[in-house]
Amino acid sequence: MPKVLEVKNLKAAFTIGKKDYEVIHNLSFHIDKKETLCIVGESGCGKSVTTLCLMDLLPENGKITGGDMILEGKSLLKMSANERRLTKGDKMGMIFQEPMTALNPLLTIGYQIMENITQHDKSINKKEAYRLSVEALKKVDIPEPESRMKQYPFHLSGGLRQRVMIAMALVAKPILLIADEPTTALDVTIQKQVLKLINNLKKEIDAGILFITHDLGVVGEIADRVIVLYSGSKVEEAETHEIFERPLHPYTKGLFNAHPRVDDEDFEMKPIKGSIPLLTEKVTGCSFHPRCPYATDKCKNEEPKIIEPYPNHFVSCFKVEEEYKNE
Amino acid sequence: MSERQPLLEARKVKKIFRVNRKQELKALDDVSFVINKGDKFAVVGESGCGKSTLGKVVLQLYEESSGSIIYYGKSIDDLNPNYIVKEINKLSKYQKTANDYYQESLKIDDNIKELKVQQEGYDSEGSKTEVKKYNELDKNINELEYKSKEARKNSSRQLREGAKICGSLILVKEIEEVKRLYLKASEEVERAFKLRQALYKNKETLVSATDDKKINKIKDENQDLIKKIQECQNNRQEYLLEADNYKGKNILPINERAQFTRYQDRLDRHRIYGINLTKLNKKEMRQQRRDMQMIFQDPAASLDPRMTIGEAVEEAFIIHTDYDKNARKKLVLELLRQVGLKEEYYYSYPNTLSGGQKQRVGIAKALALKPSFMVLDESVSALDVSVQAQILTLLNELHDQYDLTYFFITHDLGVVKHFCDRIMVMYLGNNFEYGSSEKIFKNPLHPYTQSLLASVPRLRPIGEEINEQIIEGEVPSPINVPSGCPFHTRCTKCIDVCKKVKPKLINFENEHMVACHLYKEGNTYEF
Repeated sequence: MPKVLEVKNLKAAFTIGKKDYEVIHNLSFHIDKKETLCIVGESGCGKSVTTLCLMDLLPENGKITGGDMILEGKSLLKMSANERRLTKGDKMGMIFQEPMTALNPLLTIGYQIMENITQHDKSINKKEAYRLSVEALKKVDIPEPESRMKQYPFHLSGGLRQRVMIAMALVAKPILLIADEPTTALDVTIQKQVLKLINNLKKEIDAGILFITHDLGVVGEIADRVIVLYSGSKVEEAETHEIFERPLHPYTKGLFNAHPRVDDEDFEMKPIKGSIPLLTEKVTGCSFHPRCPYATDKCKNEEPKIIEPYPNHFVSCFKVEEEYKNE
Repeated sequence: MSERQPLLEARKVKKIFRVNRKQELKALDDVSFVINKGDKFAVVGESGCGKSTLGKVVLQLYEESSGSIIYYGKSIDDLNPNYIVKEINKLSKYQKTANDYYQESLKIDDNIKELKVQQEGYDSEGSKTEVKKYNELDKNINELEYKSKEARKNSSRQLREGAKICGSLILVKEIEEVKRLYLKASEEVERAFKLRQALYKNKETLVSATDDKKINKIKDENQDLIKKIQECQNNRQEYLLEADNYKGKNILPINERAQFTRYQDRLDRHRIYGINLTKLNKKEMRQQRRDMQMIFQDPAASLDPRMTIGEAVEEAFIIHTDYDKNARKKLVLELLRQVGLKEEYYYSYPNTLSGGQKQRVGIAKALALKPSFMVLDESVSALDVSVQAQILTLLNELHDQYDLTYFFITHDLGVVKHFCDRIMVMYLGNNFEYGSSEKIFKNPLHPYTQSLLASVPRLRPIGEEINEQIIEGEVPSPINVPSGCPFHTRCTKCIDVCKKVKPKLINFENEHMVACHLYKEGNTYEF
């Protein structure tokens, strides 16, 4: 499978006061065509910042300090501003968490979708754009698409608004779809509908999907591959079933033990002690060591490297490294 | 749990919000349930199903439109709310109006008889004028029959109202005497209540008292108070027993059934020993809130950013108790320790705390007055999964330690499964299913519960698609609730009757209730 996106040693930092604080440390991953990659982690772990880096939407005090992001062989960071803007619209689509804040309340649904088409392909006239927009709404299972085109965002329910967002992201036929917690604000029943829709569309549109979530259930439902992020570093990466059946990193294990699963009869809740470090706190060594039950002196002083104990299963933890050596 | 004592009961609670002059929004539609002592009771449903409204009505933060909420944590033996005296005074009025209504219905019945005799004079299949007359009379009879029925209904409604206070005594001839005795009994409760308050106050001063002489004096006083309280209780018992002597004798013929013991027993069952929260006045409800607390969803929004953590937790003691400053601080620090916060946080402001820590402060605030009942409105929904597990573990510990009862409002079925022991599933203000968490997760009866469970995201087996039966469409607007079963527009098992008749909540098997036409009482599944 050809790679759609490759992120290499990405580093990002925020400036607070006069100091820079690094929020993404050496993050590397790739997405294949027709693949869904999930990034999981708790709030503040850098999931959303990663998507903002990709879409060039970082706030003013944020900046990328190192690494590279390559979309279909072209480096996003080396592009000129105009080139970057066009790539963003043509090749990358984004679905946000809060559809109400992402849609403009003053413009009709139709206008907002058509804008996406006409802005990026000037050869398309208005009539054609209208036809394409209605088609896009049909594709995301919105009933009566023609009348929806004339409506404003407040006319629609949360589930429908999220569908409109998906239609908007897909209308320019992107090769990379970025979804930042698209179902978190929805009820479970609607969430399932939207997940099913995204999964079906993936097969149709030939794109790679980067899916951000904090819900392990959603991961199990939609992901092909999973990255677990903690405090801006990748701690584990594996295929979905592999990570559900054999989580290696203590943090990943902790997440699974804290997440009450409906399909698990003998689940016993075991919380992870403590809370994530603040941005301004400097944690040496492995960033998880203050909360890790297996932490040793080595974890406090040295940063663990990423190893591959099983094929396509990556983890960065000294404990796992040692056990793997023994095997 | 061997004995199951009820702590809170909701009887046909309705809550209607007015949207504008024409439209109204039925947020709760005849919701009834019982929460037993020590339960972790969960209400689940999609957004807009009325779960939060229910939580607020239970705590009387919203006034209900009809129905009653009865709290058994305290009984009318130890509290004498204003409404009890009022109701006792109305006893004879209830009896009289019930009788009036009954007499009215008897008169109407006589009228009907007359008309029926008249009607026999006409032939229903005769000439046009005769048929016309016949039909006219028929219409009149129907109207009168309806009126008579209504009058009877009103009559028994009045009796039931009275029975809430004195049971079947509402039927006896000596109602004035009963009234007098009940009033006396309630006076004794009032006296005992005042004495008990004095006792609490003394105990609170004892906490900070140092002088030996003073301590001994207060202790002697307390002995005296306890004796007096006992006296009051004995007196009350005597008055009530005296009233009970009239039971079953000299029954007035208020309706046809009055003489039957079965009917009298039924009225006895209507008697309420708990406290009807919906009838308390503001001041009394405020007192009552010592016992009933709430933990909110957004811990940041429920804390005042200008108050230190110490001040925020202390507030409850300032409002409800007479502890002095030092005693209060001691108690607050103890509370902070219990919810897993360091003492240093006493002087810090909410902005320096993380989400999980803020929620711990929220718990400490709710716990301050040692309540027995807590409403948790999505209290862990805004937290990260690892912190959520910490808070749930803490809540579990507190539950065992203080014998708490939780009313848990949530949309997260995973949390419900592993944290709660009874579940009520709600949809558009209706109670759809009710039972132990084990039964509902193993054998969900209502199609809505089934699809809700199927919607929970989980690990998909390799190669399998998301094509389990997922529920179509969205929750309809509660302003235009569909006719019949409110779920029929989305239900995959919808049959004709669902569109017309609203299903009643039936007992499917032992303590597993469901409101769906697919099930019959005690029966198995049938299409």
